[in-house]
Amino acid sequence: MSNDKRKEILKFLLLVLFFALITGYAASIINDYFVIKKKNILLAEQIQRIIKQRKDKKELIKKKKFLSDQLTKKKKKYYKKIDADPYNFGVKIKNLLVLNKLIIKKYQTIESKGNTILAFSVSGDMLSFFRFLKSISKSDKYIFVLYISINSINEKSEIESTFRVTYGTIDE
Amino acid sequence: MNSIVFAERKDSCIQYYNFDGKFITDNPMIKAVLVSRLDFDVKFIKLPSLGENDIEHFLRYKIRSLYPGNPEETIFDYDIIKRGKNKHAVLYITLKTTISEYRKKVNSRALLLPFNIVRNIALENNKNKIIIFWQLFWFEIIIVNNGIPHFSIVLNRENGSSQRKYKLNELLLKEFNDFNLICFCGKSDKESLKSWIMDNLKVTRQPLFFHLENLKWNKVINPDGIFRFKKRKKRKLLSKIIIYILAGVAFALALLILNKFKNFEDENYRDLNRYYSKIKENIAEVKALENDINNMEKQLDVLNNKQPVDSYQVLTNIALVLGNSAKIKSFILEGSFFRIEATGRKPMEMMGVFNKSSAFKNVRLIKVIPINNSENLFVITGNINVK
Repeated sequence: MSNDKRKEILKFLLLVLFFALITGYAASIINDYFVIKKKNILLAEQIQRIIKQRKDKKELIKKKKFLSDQLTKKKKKYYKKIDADPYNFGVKIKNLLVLNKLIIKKYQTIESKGNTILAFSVSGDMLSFFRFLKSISKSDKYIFVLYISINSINEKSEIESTFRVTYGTIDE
Repeated sequence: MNSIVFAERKDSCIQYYNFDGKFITDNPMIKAVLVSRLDFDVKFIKLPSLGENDIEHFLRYKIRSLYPGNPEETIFDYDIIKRGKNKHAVLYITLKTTISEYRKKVNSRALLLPFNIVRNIALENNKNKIIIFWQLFWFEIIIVNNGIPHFSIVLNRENGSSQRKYKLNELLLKEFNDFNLICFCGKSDKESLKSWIMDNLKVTRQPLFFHLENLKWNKVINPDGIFRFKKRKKRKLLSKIIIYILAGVAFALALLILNKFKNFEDENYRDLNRYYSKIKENIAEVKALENDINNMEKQLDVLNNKQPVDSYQVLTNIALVLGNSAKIKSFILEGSFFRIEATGRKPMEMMGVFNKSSAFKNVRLIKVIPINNSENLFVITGNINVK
């Protein structure tokens, strides 16, 4: 093989190599382009899906605030366990009864499952008893009426009532 | 201003002449040299359809049958004329020694033959033409058939005209019935050319004269001239390089644009990812909020369930249902269960009201004992709905 022919072949091979490299580079760019484009489409679709499913943060904040207020309000109606004082509670109920002109016939403290229950036997006017129940209902702290029985004594709306009350506590 | 001069052999020495026939010395104003047509042969050949590179091989082969000289001592150059789809070659043939002599004299200046000067006029339209290039010592006749150069003959002015007169007339009569006669000559030589035409050609139309003195260098002629292989090769190489550079630039530009597109998509992907991360953060916050809300609702549920029955509200609701038509004898409330013992007129009607009220459920009339004609003692049990 002549030198010229060899040179020609070498030139051709170099040219082929150069074009192969360039073509490879171009192909890799094109491939990258399409791969990224596909990723973009998928990501955009995913974002769209998430946005559609996402709840309104402002609404949730509003709701949280409302619930928080409700909870605070409710919790305020209970005694904290450390603040609960059966003696004071008894005094409070007695005061209410006296205030409503009801006569305490019997008063008893019962301990049941760690709770202090106060049992009362009272007599008086029906309306006074109603007022007593109303003041319990409007009390700043919950007063649990576990049992109540009212019996009419005579036609003058006098009654005798036996009831058991306790106070509600929460941990915090 | 001698931009083009004639070169003629005088005592086997090549010398320059201007268009008046005056001898001139070498000077830098000389841009191109019109060589003696007697030293060169000019042939016109119709080319088959060939690639640019094959034309030269074809002409090299063809020249053997056209030129009697030894191929080793012969050199040729050519121009290509394109007429529609057809190609024609104008072949300039001479001896290598002749070219060497001329090159020695003219250095790098362009060498020209009459056809290089008359080319544009010869190819101007598709008419039949006879072009006479009238020189001091010789003249060339170029016959153009339908706009394509067909034949060229050179005659010596001193002794050639009478010998070839017969042949020339025969040739022209054979070629044309009708033709335009175009003459190129120096101003001072116009009369001698006119008288030669009168003697030798049967002219029906007035000839058109161009004075060689008026020829403008560059405008009429290819500035390279003929037999400038190196320069032409250089130019070819340069144009090849330019084409390669242009192709390279176009390719690079295409790659650049492609890369730009890719980068744009990359940037887009990064933006989307950033946005996605933001949304994810937001979603985490929303999720935390939802958890908080769920916890609060549970706590609220627990507290609501723990909330005591409002005995005052229960009694009020019962009083509303019973109204004035009944008197409660006894009432028991334990948890949500209640029991009423009362006297009244229409316990069944009361039951209807109880059942309609949303404050109670499972309300039952347990016992009805008539006391007298209008009154009954009755017992009702049920559960409270009110919290």
